Amino acid sequence: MSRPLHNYIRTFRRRLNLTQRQLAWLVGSRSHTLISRLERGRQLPSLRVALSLEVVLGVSIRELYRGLALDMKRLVDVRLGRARRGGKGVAGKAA
Amino acid sequence: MTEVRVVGLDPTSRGWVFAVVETSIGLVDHGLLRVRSAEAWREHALAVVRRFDADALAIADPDRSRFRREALAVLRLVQDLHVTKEIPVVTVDVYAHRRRLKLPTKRHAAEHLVSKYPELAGRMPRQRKPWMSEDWSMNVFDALLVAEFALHELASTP
Repeated sequence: MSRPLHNYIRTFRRRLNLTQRQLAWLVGSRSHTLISRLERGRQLPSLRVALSLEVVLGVSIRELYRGLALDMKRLVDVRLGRARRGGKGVAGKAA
Repeated sequence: MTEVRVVGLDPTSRGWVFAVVETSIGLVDHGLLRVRSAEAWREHALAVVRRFDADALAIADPDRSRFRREALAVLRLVQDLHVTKEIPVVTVDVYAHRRRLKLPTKRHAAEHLVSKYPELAGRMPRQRKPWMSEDWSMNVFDALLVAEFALHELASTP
């Protein structure tokens, strides 16, 4: 069983038959290198670009970044578990 | 639901043509990976597997296919990856699989795949005349066909 890929921007871009240059223009970027970097996971999008990607590709950002979303969920679950057990962390300090 | 991701490979004179399929997404990616030196076929195949973090690699069965001699040698090289336990390699009898799907020719198989994945419509070469050699983009459909078969096999295995 494999974990999801970091992101599926390339998959959904190709489904719409868009080039990197076209997608870059649609999300308001001057250069297609941004899309290349996003697809390769070398860079994370800004909130503006992320929301634009959601609109252009018609897929939620959570779906686009399934691998990353899963990693984040696991991390937060671990922290929540620690907080509930009363261990060190933000929750402990607040109390 | 079990997520499975499979890379299908098909050798051409230019390099590996690959197609990546996943249970929930369908076709993830496809393309050509140029192989410039004769020794690099195996490493390039492994590179695609690593890039997509695939569960298995699918190729046409070298004992049941009509490839040219060089391509057969390359396929056997990849088959060895299974023996050395580097990655599970699923070999697919393409002709039997096409017969099962009632797709008599490669062209029919390609049309079947385009109806399933419309984004591949641009890859569909024009109808070939008897004197014309096959367009390399037809290999995308060959790679996808073996990948789909392997995905179905792996996903249905408990």
